[in-house]
Formats: sequence, structure tokens, C-alpha cells
Amino acid sequence: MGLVGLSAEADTSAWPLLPAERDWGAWRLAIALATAAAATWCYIIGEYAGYYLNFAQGAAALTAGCMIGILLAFMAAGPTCARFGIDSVASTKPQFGVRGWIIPAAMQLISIVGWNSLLLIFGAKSAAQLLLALGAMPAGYGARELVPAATLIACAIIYLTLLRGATGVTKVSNVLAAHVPIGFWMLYLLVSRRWPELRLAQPVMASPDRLWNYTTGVEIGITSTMSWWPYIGAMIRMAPNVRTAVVPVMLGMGASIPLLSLIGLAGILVLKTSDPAEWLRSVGGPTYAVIALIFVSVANFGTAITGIYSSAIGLRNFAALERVSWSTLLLITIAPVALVGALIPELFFARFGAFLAFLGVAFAPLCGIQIADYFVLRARHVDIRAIYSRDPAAPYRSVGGVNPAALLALALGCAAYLKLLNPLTYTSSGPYRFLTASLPAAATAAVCYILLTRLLGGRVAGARLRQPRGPE
Amino acid sequence: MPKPTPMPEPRPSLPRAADYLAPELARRIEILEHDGDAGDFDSASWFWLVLFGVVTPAALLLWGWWA
Repeated sequence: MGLVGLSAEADTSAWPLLPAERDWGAWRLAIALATAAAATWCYIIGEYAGYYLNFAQGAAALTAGCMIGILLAFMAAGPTCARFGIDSVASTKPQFGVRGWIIPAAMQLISIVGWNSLLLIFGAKSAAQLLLALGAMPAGYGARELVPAATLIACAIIYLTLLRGATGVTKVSNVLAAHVPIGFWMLYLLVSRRWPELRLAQPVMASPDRLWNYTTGVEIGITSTMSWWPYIGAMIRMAPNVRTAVVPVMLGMGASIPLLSLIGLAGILVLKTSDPAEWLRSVGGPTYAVIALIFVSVANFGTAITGIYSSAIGLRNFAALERVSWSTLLLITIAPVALVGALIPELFFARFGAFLAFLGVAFAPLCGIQIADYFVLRARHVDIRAIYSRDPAAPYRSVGGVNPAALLALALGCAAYLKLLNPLTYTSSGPYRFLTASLPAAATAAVCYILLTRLLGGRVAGARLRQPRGPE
Repeated sequence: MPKPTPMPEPRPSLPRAADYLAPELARRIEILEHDGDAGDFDSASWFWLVLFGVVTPAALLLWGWWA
């Protein structure tokens, strides 16, 4: 299967893809999404849930939360992206305006750079440990010394792979998809060999409030998968329509993330570490440790390729980057990741909690606004020309290119999240234990967006009420 | 529940001088405006969305709570 109909220009731009170019079927999309989703972050997601919940409750809460989060992220960006073959950032122009989309674009950039820095540093650490385990390291060198070099090598390989655009993503996905079953095998290994301990293991940071613990497990799942909003758009724009993407997104991404997160959940509960590279050694010996290290390196590599591609396509929406060559754009996209990995890998790891907090606060309101706009205010009508138009009278121009209703709704949604849950300390208030923080934040942003749009008028909000709608 | 009133969108029109788009982008938009819209969710899509996004999580939450 190749991207026969996809021109190189469209493949590496933020322009809409034509129907003939969107040739990813359900299977290919599911494989690409599962490959992209299955990475080190799954272990960290599982680890965080394992601080509060036992294995059965953690598995249920995480899976439920992940599927809810994917549903919201997909319903937010999915319809517009799949209908017109555009990426997630471009899909925000009807809500935020033809200049205001820079805010979601910045959120995407921070999210993807953060996740990919984490993945490549983690992958580099695994590669360094693998070399140590195989005795291939020169005397006097350890993982700490090798991580910057390994990160830069990984960045170089990703750069070369992505020079072919989405074709590179497809080819890598087809090869690296094999690591997903290996992940499930590792889970089976741990569950089958340590089941009695796993069944009785208790979380170390659990609150006396059982409902709070359970809700926090759901919240971790929702937050983690909602941050997949950028990836969803970049991948499903390759599908012929949104109907083809429904099951691949909900299962390929919504199910594979929580299933692989169980590796981290089980690991932290039984062996007090979520990293399979560490616990497989104690469960199965050095051979299994080597397999796990290869798995971690490969899994992170596949996901980072998708992430860098998504980020580069998102950057294409900036006028200044519209005309630069694809190779230059890739360099601009990879450079922050390479710099973080080469210069401050340990510092970035230490601050990772703050990064997760940002994801939770930012993406839930964004999803709420997009869902309200598409399904309620616009009743599923999107003007593709207006998304790309630079005409001062264009429908999505709003006030100087920025829609104040969307900005206010985003701010109020973020405030609602922070009122319910401090994502840095996990101290909560109000109805958090019944509702989570992400869902009320999304709902608050959605309701505020609808009310503000009605209050300010459709012209301000980015739709010209005075002009009748043309025929379908 | 009353059907939501859509915010009207303008009728597609030819680009003006101020609305200059790259020729290839303009060509793509023209095609998408006329017959390129891949369409929205159908009833089967909604079934899968509700099954995987609402029913399955609800069932899992109930099971997990009593587990």
C-alpha cells in the first residue's frame, strides 16, 4: 500500500487533502494510530494511576477514562479534519479566528515537543542501557553520558525518515506495528507470573476516599488521551471520510493506550517501577530485559516520528513557514526536541509533572469549544475556503482575526479545571470526586462559548449571520 | 429537544484580490467546495461512538467499582 495519489506538496503542507489522496483504509489507520499511541508514556500513565488504585480498579478507571478522552478529542477535531483532509490546528480556525488559531497551535507545539522530548530521552536511556546490557559500551561510559548522543542520533534518523512526508510515517508504522503485540506479551508475562501479588497489591498514595481515587484514575485517562488531539487530526486526514476513522480511532488509539498502560500499572503495584526495562529483568532475567529495552526504543521511535510529522504540518499554518522547504521545516520542528534531549534531559524529566498538568488544563476546554461550535452553533457546516482565506471580510475573521468568545471560553474552561483540581498537587475541591476536572472544564468552555457567541453576535464569533447559507 | 439553529455560512464565491490563495491551494478548495466534502458521521458511526465512548466506559466503571 502506498500513497499513490498523494502529491509530495500536499503530503508536506497544511493544505487540505483531496478525496483521491486520502487512501488510508480502516486497518492502515488503526495500525498507524496504535503504533503512534504505544510508547513510553503508557507506562507513565499507568504508573500515575497505580499510585491511587489497585490493579482491577486502575484497569477499569484508566480504560474508561482513555476511551472518554479519545471520544472527546475525536469529536472535537475529527469531523472537520476528516471531511476536508486538514490537520487539527487548521480545524480550530472556525472557532478561534484566522489569527486566533495561533493559541491552539502553540498548545499543540508545546504538547508535541514535550511528549517527543520525553519519548526520545526515554528511548535514548533505553538504548544506552541496552548497550550496557550487551557489553557494547566502552569502559567508563554510562547511560548518562550516552543519552545526549543517542537523542541526537534518534533525531537524525527521524529527520531522514520524515523527508518523505506521510509516506515515511506509513512505512515506519507498517514495520514498527510489531512492537504492540510485544507490549501485550510483556503484560501477560507480568500478570501470569505475579498474579497473586498483583491481585493483593495496594496503591501507596491512595486517599482514604475510595471515590476520589477512582475518579482520579478516570481523570488521568481522560487527560492523557485528550492531549492526543493534535495526532488525531494529522492521522485521520489521510482517511477517506470520518466514518472510516471512527472504529480505528476508538480502538486503535482509545483501547491500545489503556491496555499498554496496564504494563506500568502492574509494574508500579508489584515491583515499584513502571519501566518494563527494569522489571522484566527481575521477572524473566537478562534476555527479557534486552527484549524490553528494544521494545521501548522501537515504540518511542515510531511515536516520535508521528509526533514530529504532526507538529511540522501544524507549523505550516504559519504564513512565515508556508513556503519554506519541507526539510527546513522538519529541522525547525526537531530542533527544540534535540536541544532538550542534548542539553537538559535530566532537568526535563524532573519537570515532567508540570508538563502533564499543562496538558490537562489546556486540552479539555479546547475540545469543549470545538464540539460546541461544530455540533451546536454551526450545526456541522464548515466553510473550507474561509479557513484559508486572508480576506479581511472572511467569515472566520472575527475581530481582527481573533474570536473573543473562544478566548474567553478557553480561559473560563481552564479556570474551571483549576478550581476543581490542582494538577500539580492533585488537591481537589467541589464536585471533582463525582465529575472529574476535565469533563466539567470541557462543559464549562462549551457552554460559555455558546453563550458568548450568542451574546456577541455571529459576526463577531466568526459567522456572517446576515448572509443566507448557500445550498449544500 | 429543538433542533439547533445553524449559523449561516456564506455561499462559496470566487476569490477576490485581497483573498489571494496559492494556485494549488485554490484548486484544492474549489474541488472540496463542489464535491470534495467527505461527509459527516452516519448512524453506524454514532453507534460505534456511543458503544466505545459511552457504553463501554460506563460498563467498565461499574465493573471496576465493585471489583
